[in-house]
Amino acid sequence: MTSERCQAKGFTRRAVCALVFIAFSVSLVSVSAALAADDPTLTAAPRQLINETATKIVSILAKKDQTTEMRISEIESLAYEIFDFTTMSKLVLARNWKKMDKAKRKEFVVEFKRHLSRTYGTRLDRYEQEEVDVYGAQVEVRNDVSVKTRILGGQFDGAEISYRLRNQRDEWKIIDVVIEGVSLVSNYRSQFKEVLNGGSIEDLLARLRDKNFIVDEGRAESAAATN
Amino acid sequence: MTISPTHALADESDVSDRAVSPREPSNPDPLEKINRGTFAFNEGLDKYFLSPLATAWDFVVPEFAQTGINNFYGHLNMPIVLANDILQGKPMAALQDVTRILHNTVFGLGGFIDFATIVGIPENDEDFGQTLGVYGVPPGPYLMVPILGPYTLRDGVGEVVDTTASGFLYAPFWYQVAGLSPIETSGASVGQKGLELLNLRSIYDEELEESKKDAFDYYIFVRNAYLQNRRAKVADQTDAPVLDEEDLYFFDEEENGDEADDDEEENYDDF
Repeated sequence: MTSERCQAKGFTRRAVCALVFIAFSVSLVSVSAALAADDPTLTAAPRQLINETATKIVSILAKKDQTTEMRISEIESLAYEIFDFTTMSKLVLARNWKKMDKAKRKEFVVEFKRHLSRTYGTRLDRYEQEEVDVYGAQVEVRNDVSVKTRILGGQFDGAEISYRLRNQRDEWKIIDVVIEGVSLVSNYRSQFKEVLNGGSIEDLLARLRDKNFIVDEGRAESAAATN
Repeated sequence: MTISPTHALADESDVSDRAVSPREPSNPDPLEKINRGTFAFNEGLDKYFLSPLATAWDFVVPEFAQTGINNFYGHLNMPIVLANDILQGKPMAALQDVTRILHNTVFGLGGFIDFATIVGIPENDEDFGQTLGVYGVPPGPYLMVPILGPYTLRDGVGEVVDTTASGFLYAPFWYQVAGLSPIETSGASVGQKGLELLNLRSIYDEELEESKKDAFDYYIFVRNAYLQNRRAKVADQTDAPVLDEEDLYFFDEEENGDEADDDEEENYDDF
């Protein structure tokens, strides 16, 4: 292959051949690295889920004849299907989860779910001409799977967003979103820890309810304004 | 979920495999009190000065020009990135960045268009703080710097080194081509930095406002995001978190084995 053609004499020629050879082997290395990271039998299902979701979101965002509220609520109901909010609530509360009774847990999951779905929906709705490249997947500890995506185009061109999925009750659901190395679960956990350091779980629930209420109100206002 | 002891062992080894050049100190923010004060000052500055200025900038400068300016600043910074590629012993990244500089200079109107990205040359994000991290220097305490925002001690030192190097690199331009005196040259460098920050602030205006609104503790939000992001960058692994909490995805379920079965059935998603 390349090395045979590199028998030709002359310094420039040899230098060019060497460069081509280096580039070639580097691309081989990166291809094999990509193959090693992606074990298709184990990651196919979660990867497909992320792929389908990305396609759905792009098509929702393309519905420019609808109002912003309609698009956001469509993204919200999509989020309801693909996130495992109970697991996410456990992870963000960590040890505090154990201290809560069932009623409190349920209340927390319901409010946290609304909070996440709304912030997720509102943010996504601003992103327009962007494409999502689902470029890889990786098996993690205890058979979680990370699906790796990259934003193409727009203001966040090249941003890495990785989704961690867990299979429970035979369903793959997202349990964390990692943007440029920043885990959403870790970020909420550190904030909630701070709130719980200075207050009780009641206080945290009250803050969550307040935030959700404000979002509701703001939305009702802007809906009234468009009508 | 069934959790066997072997699983738990496997997890721990895996987590330590993944991580982390230097381990975080147990408290990354020993100066929290002072930092919170500076943070409040920066927030005030942003609210009454930067944010209105950014709104005005946004009004006057069209979006494509903002992107172009941002690209140009990225382009000006490429020699620094290249130097850090080399210092970190990353020849492939260095090659890519040389190609990137050439492409964007020649085909990208001197750096205003990121032509290299369009043709698929990846962008490397390196700085001297990361270089120090690669050589094992721990991040040190978290520092909130007036006007400039979050740093760790290591990354602040890195920023000073990068900025100084960049200043020396472009000083001949201001000094000889534009004919400024040394004092005017340093003034021009400050202006250059100021414009960069203003343009960035205006590009990310909506994200900043929304993050502020959504946060439960905005100071913690920023600190956590900054530290996670820097850790990921040092490890060149921005597609996954570099865990500092080993229990991030599996908290103390093992301790309460009897309750774990109970949790298995626990699912409140349908409410």
